[in-house]
Amino acid sequence: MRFHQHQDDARRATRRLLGLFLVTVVGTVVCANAALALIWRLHPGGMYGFPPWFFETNTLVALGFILGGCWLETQRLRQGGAHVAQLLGGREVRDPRSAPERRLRNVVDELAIASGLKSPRVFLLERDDAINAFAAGWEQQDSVVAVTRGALERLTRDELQGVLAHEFGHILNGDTRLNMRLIGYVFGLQMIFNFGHSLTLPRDADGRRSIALLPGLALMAAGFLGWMGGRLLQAAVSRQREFLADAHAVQFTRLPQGIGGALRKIAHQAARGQARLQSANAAAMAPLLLSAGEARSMRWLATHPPLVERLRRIYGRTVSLLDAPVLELVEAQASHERAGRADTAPLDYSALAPDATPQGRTAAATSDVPGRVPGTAHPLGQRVGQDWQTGRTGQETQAEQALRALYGFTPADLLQAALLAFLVPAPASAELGAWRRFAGGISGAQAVLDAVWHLSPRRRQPWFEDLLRQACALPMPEQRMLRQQALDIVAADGRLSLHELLAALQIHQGLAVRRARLAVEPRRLALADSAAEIGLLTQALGGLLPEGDAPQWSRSVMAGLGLSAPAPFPGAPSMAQVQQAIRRLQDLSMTQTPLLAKQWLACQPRDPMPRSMAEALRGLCLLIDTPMPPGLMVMFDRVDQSG
Amino acid sequence: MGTTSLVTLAILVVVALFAVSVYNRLVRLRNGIGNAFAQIDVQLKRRHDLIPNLVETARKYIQHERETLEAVIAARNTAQTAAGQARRNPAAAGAIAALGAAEGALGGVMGRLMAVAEAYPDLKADQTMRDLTEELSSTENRVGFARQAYNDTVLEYNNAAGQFPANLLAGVFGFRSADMLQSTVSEAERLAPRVLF
Repeated sequence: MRFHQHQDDARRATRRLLGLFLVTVVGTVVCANAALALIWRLHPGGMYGFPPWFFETNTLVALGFILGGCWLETQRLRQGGAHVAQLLGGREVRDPRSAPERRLRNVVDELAIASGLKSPRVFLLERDDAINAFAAGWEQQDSVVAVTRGALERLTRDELQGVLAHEFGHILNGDTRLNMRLIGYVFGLQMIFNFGHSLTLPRDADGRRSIALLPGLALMAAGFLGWMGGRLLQAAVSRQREFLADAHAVQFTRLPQGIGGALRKIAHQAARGQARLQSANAAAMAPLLLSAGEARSMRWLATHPPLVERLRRIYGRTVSLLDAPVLELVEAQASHERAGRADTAPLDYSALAPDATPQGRTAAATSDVPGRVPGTAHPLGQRVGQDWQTGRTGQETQAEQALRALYGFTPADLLQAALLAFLVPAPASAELGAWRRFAGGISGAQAVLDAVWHLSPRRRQPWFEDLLRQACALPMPEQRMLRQQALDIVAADGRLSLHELLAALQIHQGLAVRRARLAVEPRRLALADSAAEIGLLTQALGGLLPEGDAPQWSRSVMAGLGLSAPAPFPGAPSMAQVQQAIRRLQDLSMTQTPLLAKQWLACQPRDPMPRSMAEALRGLCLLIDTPMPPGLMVMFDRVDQSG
Repeated sequence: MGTTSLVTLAILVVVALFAVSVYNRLVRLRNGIGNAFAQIDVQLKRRHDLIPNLVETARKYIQHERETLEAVIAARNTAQTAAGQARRNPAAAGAIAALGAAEGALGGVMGRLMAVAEAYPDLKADQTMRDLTEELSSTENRVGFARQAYNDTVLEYNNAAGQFPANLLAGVFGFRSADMLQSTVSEAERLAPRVLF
């Protein structure tokens, strides 16, 4: 890549665009003047010339709006790079603790030498798996750079260096300052439009328009043209600066494959819908980022050039996209950390152990705590007063209130312990031992475990799902640990039931990355093509029914769907088979999955159906991403009517 | 004072201002070159300080490869002496060239050590060794970037001193074009230590 040439081109283009921007500002002022002059002329008595200082006043007021608006906006935006990084959810990397962080720190220091700049502060956006980075800061002295967790873990050293070199290019050229100033001017131009708009609003309660209606419209028109022109030009300047920063990246590292590889991986993520940032402020800060993720806006208003065009300029030809798995460096780190804890013995997952006694589970399901006689008063099971102020129609037990307290600022490990507590079925089980190994040192964990046990059976699943949604906001390393811990706990007693499997799968799939996949790829599978998988899952569910009902149930489900019943599997299906079946059913067309759920519900031989069956159906509906049938929803309704 | 003398005066003032700005710019760029050269020195010193640590960690696992380890220590000591001499007296004949040769030899021997260490999985898995390897590869990158930054600075200075009309004044003020760092002719240095962990 002939980066000096590209840099000169980008700088020339920027100068041209800034010239056009100046023309736009001047043009808006002139337009406003002209429109007001025209209105004045049309006004009766206006043929005799303009009042003194007419044009000067108009010009001054218009310029006042533009410059004042610019000043206001830049004051808001110039609070320093660290502030911006924290707005987007970043944490500073001061003493690198892990190998990836050390590598990041070294890469930044190397680039400081290559570019001749001072080494900036480094921030890490922990919650984002999307590969992205930004540089912020008004002065060169107080700039910061930030990368996401995804960039840290999915890019090789050279690619990370390319990304950071791009950001150093932004710092060197003062792009943050330029972009923020332009945004300020655009805001100022918008203020003229807003002022004009406010003049056209009715003045009094009767809806009579003020006499300033026509001038208001004139100002609105001029302001709108200026505002739109300003936006288009600002976006164009931003695009040129991105090209300039790409060229600087190649200049500093002398390695096109660095920044090129990173952009290819970002493009791959964007194509799969995984490139969005979690923070709510990300949209406002879009000009600062390395890549804008999916292109949502019109081409002319995009702050970043298309990734394809950027790659073409870097490589000099079109290139393919790169997949971006998490690197070995990070996996090695994670397993190194886990080796410190006691290992559970390796398991043979060859057969799913059926739930101990379906009858036993049904009986236990009607009492609050497994093994207790229903009706016994227990502090956590008692109702607390109804909350009239919020108007909640249900009454929450004390256990539910304890869990609701987790919705505020909760330490990450307490939230993880709460979620994993749902996998512990009974007080004296092996799973409890595994849970304690993880959560033993966390304060408040035992109380949370008690609360989970004392949840009414009807409310267990909804709470589990709610806490899982909360867990999506955890930083990526904690999410990864949660997934691993779920598998460890579930495997603790050497047997795997369908309930445990579905819960572990929900934890696996409920967290951010997988969900994006489900949203993007089209689902085209028909029921007829997945008869084998449906048969397998139906048989697995049949294991939850009382003995003897299972074959009848399988037959009626398959007949109801119009499929031929496959030969029954000998024994129970294995975990891998169930997982694979679920994955295939995730591709089932959205119009046909409700039929499947309805059949599973309608063919139930017993009424009321066993609790375990209801929970398993709910879990499956969520895993294959289909709405729950109303008959099933009613069983888990918010109002807890049971005794 | 006629118009012609006023105009001549104005032209002279303009030329004087131009000369001042050119001189200041060239001084600034020349100082930048000195700074960039000092940067290289800083990174070389860092490299010299890192190597004994690396050798001691490796020695625990690969006692049989004594010759390679001894060669690394010897090359490092030579390079350190050469760097010291160049620092004290950069204008001495051949000081920089000797430094370049010594660093090149060190690079070659480090490459041999890394190739040998490939055969020892225990050494690869050791946490200290991984940290040191990362530090070493970072240091090699820093040396490389420092040299690159030096060359970029020299390029900027040469452009400023060589373009018309500044080159007329540069000659008058005594700014000569500077030399870039050439890579050495030794093949050993071209093979920078490949850190394959």
